[in-house]
Amino acid sequence: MVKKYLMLAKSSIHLDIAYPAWYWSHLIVTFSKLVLMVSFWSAVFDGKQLINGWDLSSLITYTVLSMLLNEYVNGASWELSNLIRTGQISVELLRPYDLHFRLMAQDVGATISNMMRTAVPLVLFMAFVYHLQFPVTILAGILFLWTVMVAIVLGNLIDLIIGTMAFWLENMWGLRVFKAALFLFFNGALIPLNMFPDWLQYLCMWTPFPSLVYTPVGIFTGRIVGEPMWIACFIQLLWVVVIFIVLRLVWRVALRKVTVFGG
Amino acid sequence: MLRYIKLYWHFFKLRVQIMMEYRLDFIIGILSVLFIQGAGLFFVNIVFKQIQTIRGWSFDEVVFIYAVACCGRAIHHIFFDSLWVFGRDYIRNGGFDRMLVRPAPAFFQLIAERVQQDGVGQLLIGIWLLSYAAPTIGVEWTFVSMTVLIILILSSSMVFIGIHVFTCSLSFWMTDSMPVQWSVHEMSDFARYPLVIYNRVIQSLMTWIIPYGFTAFYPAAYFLRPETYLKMGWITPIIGFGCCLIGAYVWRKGVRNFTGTGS
Amino acid sequence: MIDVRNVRKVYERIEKTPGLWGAVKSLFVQRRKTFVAVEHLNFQIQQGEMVAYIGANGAGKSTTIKLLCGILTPTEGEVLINGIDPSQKRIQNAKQIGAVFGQRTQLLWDLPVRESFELLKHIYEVEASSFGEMYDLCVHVLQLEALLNVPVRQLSLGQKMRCELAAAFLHSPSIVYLDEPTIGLDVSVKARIRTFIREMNRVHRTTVILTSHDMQDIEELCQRVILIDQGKIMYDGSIDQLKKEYGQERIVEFHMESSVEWRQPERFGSFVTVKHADSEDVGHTVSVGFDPTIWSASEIISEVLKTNKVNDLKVLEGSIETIVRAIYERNGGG
Repeated sequence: MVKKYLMLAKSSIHLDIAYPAWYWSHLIVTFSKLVLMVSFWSAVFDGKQLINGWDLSSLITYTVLSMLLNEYVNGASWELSNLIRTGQISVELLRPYDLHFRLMAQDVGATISNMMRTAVPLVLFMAFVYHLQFPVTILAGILFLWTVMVAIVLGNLIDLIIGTMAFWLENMWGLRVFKAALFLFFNGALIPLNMFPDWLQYLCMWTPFPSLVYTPVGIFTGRIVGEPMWIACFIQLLWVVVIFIVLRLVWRVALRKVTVFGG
Repeated sequence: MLRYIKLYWHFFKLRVQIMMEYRLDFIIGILSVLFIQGAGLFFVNIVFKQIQTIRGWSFDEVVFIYAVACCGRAIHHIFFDSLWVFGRDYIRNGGFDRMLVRPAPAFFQLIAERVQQDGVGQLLIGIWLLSYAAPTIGVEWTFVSMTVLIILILSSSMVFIGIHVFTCSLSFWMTDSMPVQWSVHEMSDFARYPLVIYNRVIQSLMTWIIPYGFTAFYPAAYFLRPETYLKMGWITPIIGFGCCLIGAYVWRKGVRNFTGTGS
Repeated sequence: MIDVRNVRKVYERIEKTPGLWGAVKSLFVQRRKTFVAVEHLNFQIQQGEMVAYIGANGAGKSTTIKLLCGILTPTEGEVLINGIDPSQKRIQNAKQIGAVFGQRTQLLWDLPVRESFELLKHIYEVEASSFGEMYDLCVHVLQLEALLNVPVRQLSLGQKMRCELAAAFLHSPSIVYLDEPTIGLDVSVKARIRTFIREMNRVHRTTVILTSHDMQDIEELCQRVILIDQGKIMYDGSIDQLKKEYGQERIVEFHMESSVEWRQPERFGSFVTVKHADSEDVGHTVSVGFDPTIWSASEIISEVLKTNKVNDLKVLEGSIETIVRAIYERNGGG
């Protein structure tokens, strides 16, 4: 049962490696964005010791990790919407696996492969040049790894909901751009959430977005410690359950549309 | 010339008709761009809550730079969007052959086939930001200075267009140059902030190698710090023309390579 | 008039070495390999002729068409279309030609067919009066009235192809290139399209260059056939002559149980060719090839049935492929 999905995950690792041009361009773009943000923050600090409780070194660590993590909390919405648009979906539904799990397995496979080849070298390079910090405690380090995994699953689930929208939308581009902007801003990848004005922080708390990036990286950099750390982990898991239920509900409504209109 | 303006108008009318076919997509597209630009500004705003200036540049000045960038890239975004998919949709599956058997320059047909409505949102934001920032930066807005501003914004889009035509034309040799287009285009984000916040290498890269500096920072700095950047302002139109010339040259070379002329 | 003189087209390809190391190496050293697509092309086509241009896949058909359209420039030799060199004056040439390239559409996917036609009018700068005349004719002969207001994405393959054909003829081109215009269509649509092409040729004296795998297309439309193989013209002449020279062999296939032994009728002697093949689903297959000027298919069948127990049989028509193969074999493998 699980083996089936593992094989799918492995196959997408091969696929990921098959496009060297995209790999290099992704590496270059990610790297230049990191340099841009680090330069920006360095200029903002410009001799200051603390801004809003952050020192430059931990803010740079935060920025590097959160921007990289933001690259990986995506999913297979592209593939799902293509399946829907081309009508291939009706064939997929006859196959002996759960389509959502299949897409997720493949995407997680690609994510892991890409992380090894992009994020890890970049982190090492940035650590060497900008002296990134270590996790504040061993526990924080372990919880960071755990919450990153949960965040990737959560990001995948949200992305599948977006992909399902292809049943109603002809052109998915706008929605995908919108989602990317929403993620970048509200998950804390652009700026730590605790720099937001209070009302906005409060608003974010009611969305799943902070669970994607701010929770893991906040734990790593010691912004979330003690009891709130455990609560954040719990909330993250809660969102996985909630989003999963929403995905299945949306999916069911969408499929009813297929059977009524014949795709 | 008049013929092509008329012909463009016919293409344009059809594009609007198609947009109206997908009204929901149209609205989502506009909204998503509004949101992205808004988020970027909000980010700058939050940062400037903590500090007065960044390397001596105030919030209003940064907004002014941002506004010039917005307008310049909006024009490119609205009218030159098909460059992105040139490799995938025209070279790979032979769509370019079809253009070559029609009695109009292939480049004109390529450009005329798409209008990207999302860019309209960007242009509106740009104009709105200009009208916010322009009165605050201590420039006297006469007819002459307004004209100069418009010329510099047009030059800014020419830089965008020229560079993009260059990277797009690489598709003639590598089938789909989208990864290259993307990684080069993303570099333009550097130009949204005062270039002085970056180290020397990035500054000269953005000025002389991939001259995105001329899409926002130099034209804006011409108004903000004329004592230092007067010359850079003046050469902006020259750089814009230069980029377009180089782009056109590479495009022509690509077409010749495609049709097997010369070489 | 189409005038092709001693044309040769050579492609240069960069050889790719597989793997990462290959990619790194190719940054510094590129191995180029040249490949001759067509050579010694010589033919003239008069205004109003309908010519079939045939050959196997990769024989150089589409290269030739691209050379005639101005999409490719010949490496050597000269192409003149009504006195214009298409690779030098591509746009001027484009005004006098029309083209249907298999599955590549001229039509705007999201909009009603009518809008695509309207746009073509502006692209080709056709005067309203002559455009209207042609438009009415196309709509009438291809029976497009009911389709004009339907978005292209909702059309069936056959409907789309009828619209594509109209799009290729609307600006009254003097030459039209049709690349597989009937592929995948059903019989009635094929017949409709052939009627249309004949009508256009009759009324407007449009020159038509047709590539097709459908023998019936070629027989019904074209008087002349140019056959190309491995980049060289192997035959240029009338279709009857082609069939007489190369296509005379017909084949009857007999399917039998694998256990049953084939007994050759004595009358056959060495005048027919017999080939054997075994397959799992139909068992033993015997193909009997014969010259239709000497034998009739019914004679062959009755002779075979006298001596053999046969489950099923099939009479094969001469196809382009069999003719191409025959020519290929006669010329000693090119």
